Amino acid sequence: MIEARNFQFLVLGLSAAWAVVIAYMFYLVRRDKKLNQELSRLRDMLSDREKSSR
Amino acid sequence: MKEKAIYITGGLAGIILLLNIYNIFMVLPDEANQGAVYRILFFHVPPAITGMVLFFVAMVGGIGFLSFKDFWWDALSVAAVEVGVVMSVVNLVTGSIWGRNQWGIWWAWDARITSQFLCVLIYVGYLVIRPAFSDATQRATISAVLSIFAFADIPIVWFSIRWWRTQHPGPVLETGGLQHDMAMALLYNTIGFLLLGAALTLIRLRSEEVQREIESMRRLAHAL
Amino acid sequence: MANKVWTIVAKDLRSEFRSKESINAAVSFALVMLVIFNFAFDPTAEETHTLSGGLLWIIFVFAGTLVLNRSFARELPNDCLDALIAAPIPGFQLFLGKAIAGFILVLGVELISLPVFGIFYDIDLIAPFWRLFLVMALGTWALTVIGTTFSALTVNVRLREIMLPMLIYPVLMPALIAAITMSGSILDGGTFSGNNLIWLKLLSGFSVIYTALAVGLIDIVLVG
Repeated sequence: MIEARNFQFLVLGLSAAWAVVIAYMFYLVRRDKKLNQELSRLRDMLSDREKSSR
Repeated sequence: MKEKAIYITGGLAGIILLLNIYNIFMVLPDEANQGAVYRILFFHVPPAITGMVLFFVAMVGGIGFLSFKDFWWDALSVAAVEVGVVMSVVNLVTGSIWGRNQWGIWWAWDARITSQFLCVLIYVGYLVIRPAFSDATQRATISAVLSIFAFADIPIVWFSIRWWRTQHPGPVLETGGLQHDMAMALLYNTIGFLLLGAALTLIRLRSEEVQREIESMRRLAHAL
Repeated sequence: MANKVWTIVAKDLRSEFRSKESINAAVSFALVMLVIFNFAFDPTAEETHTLSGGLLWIIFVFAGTLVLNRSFARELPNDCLDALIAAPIPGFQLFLGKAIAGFILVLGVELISLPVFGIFYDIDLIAPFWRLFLVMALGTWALTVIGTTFSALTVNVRLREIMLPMLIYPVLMPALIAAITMSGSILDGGTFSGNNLIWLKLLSGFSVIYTALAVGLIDIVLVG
């Protein structure tokens, strides 16, 4: 049902499309992790300072 | 609640796109002139539509911030622009590959891909200039104005480049008339990509809100 | 209202003519580009005719951006910008004043470069001059409106000289295409009929839309 004609390009095209989307998803996940780490670090630092200032 | 929204939209997107892939590959026949490669269409047009919708959402976010001064609107704006750029890049990449197959060159400067490229450039400018502002309010205000200027340009860009191409004729990516089942597949993929875009935007939005929280904590930490 | 606008125009022009910093830079830059073009393409008479519109506007836009970059940046030392914003002049009149001054300066640079271009590349400028001047005026106003607005947007940004062109050129592109196409056609003896009429309408429409947007949003940009 599917011709071999131009099939390679089709695979290339779809792979490229999804590669871009998945690369962006990875970027989002990594960014999220980094931000959450920074957030908990700041939270710890702030609670330490509060305790020490009391 | 935000988490649930992300999972639902993402999940729906995944389901629709997966089902449609089966449809696209197994059910639809080959096109007369192009063979199998025309199926790129289903992953070329929906991202473009999603990108444009997201750029519109970004403008709404900009107007929202200018009207309500709530930073949530600014977060929406930058999230929509970022995901919109990603979707538009998908459109460019698939268009280039399709063009390589059809005409033998990777970039033929046809009207649609050129216009899309220009739109990507405009919004990349938006993304690049944002970090250059350290003050959050100024950043949000400038971004809002930029998002309005940028979206106003989109129809003008498309028209001007198409008119230019009419005077300097060149290759046109043949999408032709679609049979009913192909049109339905295109519609389903469009919905799928719109949902995917929405899910990614929500994730990016939440990420931006976390960043704002970090900035306010940093200010607090410096103050103490 | 006209009084205040013209006060700003006069102030900017006077300031520029005292130091001549951006005019000198822009004119030198334009002349160097004209020379580089000859080495880059070594055009025959025929080729120059085809490329003339594009070359002219590449030079005008790059040189013009140099001038417009200074538009708001010149107010930074000694807190002049804060003083201007605090002054009893509405934001949009301040903007119009700066835009008109910038327009006059950029048009001046263009009119200096034009005869040099005609001499270097043996192009008849006398016959089509007034039509060319109309296109130059319209195109320069589009460049000025966008350039002045983005100059205000980026005035506090670190890498302003790089950011400003990056923002201006994609947004300006439709107007640029119109100006280039019309200029090329006019230098070849064309008139404002047929295709050129559509370009003329496009360029005028672009200028109107963006002048309106700039005037509407500039207060938000300046004051925040």
